[in-house]
Amino acid sequence: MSHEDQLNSAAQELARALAGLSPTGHRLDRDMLMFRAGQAASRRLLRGWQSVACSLAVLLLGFAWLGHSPALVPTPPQQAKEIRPPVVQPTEVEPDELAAATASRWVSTNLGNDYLRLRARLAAEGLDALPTWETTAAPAPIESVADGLRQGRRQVPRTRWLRRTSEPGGTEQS
Amino acid sequence: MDSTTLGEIGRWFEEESTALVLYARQWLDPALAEDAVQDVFVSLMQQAQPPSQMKPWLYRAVRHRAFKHLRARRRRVTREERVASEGSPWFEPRPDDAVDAQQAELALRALPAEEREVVTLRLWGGLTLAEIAAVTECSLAAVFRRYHAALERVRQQLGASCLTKIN
Repeated sequence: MSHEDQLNSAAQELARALAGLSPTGHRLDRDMLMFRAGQAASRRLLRGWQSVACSLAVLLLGFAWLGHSPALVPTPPQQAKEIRPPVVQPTEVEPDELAAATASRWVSTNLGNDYLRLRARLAAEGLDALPTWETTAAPAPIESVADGLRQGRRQVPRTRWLRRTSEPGGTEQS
Repeated sequence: MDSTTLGEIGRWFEEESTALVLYARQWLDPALAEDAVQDVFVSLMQQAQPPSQMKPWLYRAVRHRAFKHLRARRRRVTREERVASEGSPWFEPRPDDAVDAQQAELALRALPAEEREVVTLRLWGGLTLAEIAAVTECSLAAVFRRYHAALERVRQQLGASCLTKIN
């Protein structure tokens, strides 16, 4: 049972009579309504484009400001310092003494930064980057070395870490 | 919104715009009432999905829009505008009307606003009492109480002339 059934017959009759009255017409038009809807839609679309354009303008201004700021001056790339191997002047010393002296001098002078540069060049160019020993003294022939040893002008090089024993299985001599 | 939905909205406009304008005229003058109804249909076309219950949605939207117009214009309403608003009739008199249109309008204007709203929604909007409760945001019992009281007041206001015309 609906609520309206609880109304008495007089009220129901009055409701039917009032519902028969027709409201006054209006000036609204369906075409005008569609036109207004299109206007509103285009306005919304325009507002969207305006917001996009404003965002882009702000971005461009930001980029322009960044472009006018003092840029870092690019430094020219440093030329790699060419490392020349040390030139050993010819002397009247023996070849093995000459080699030892040259190596010790080279190590003492070039073991710092030059060593690092040499290592870098070795990594880049390979074994060709190794310095060559430019000596004018020709190596002594093996016969002259043997004669020198025999006549006592040369001594057999002894190393510290080699130990001589008197006889096989004997005690060590320092 | 596709063309089918637009056609459906156009059909709703043809069927309900007159009753919607009458509903809005409880608070607004005729021009503003028409603007409110038009705004509601324009906003309806801008929605991605149409509402599931179109009719109650339309009346609720017109109600909100009318209140918005009313708040904006309340301080600016002049006496001339009020007189012009009162001068425009709510109903078109026809010879076969069961009640006199002018007297019915006077009786309706004399009603309290909440009772008049319920009667307008029920009789010319064609909403059920449950839908009216949803539109006016009050209980079903309150809606029925207002509807019954409004009809009683109108019947007393119209008096014997109305009753004789009905009978």
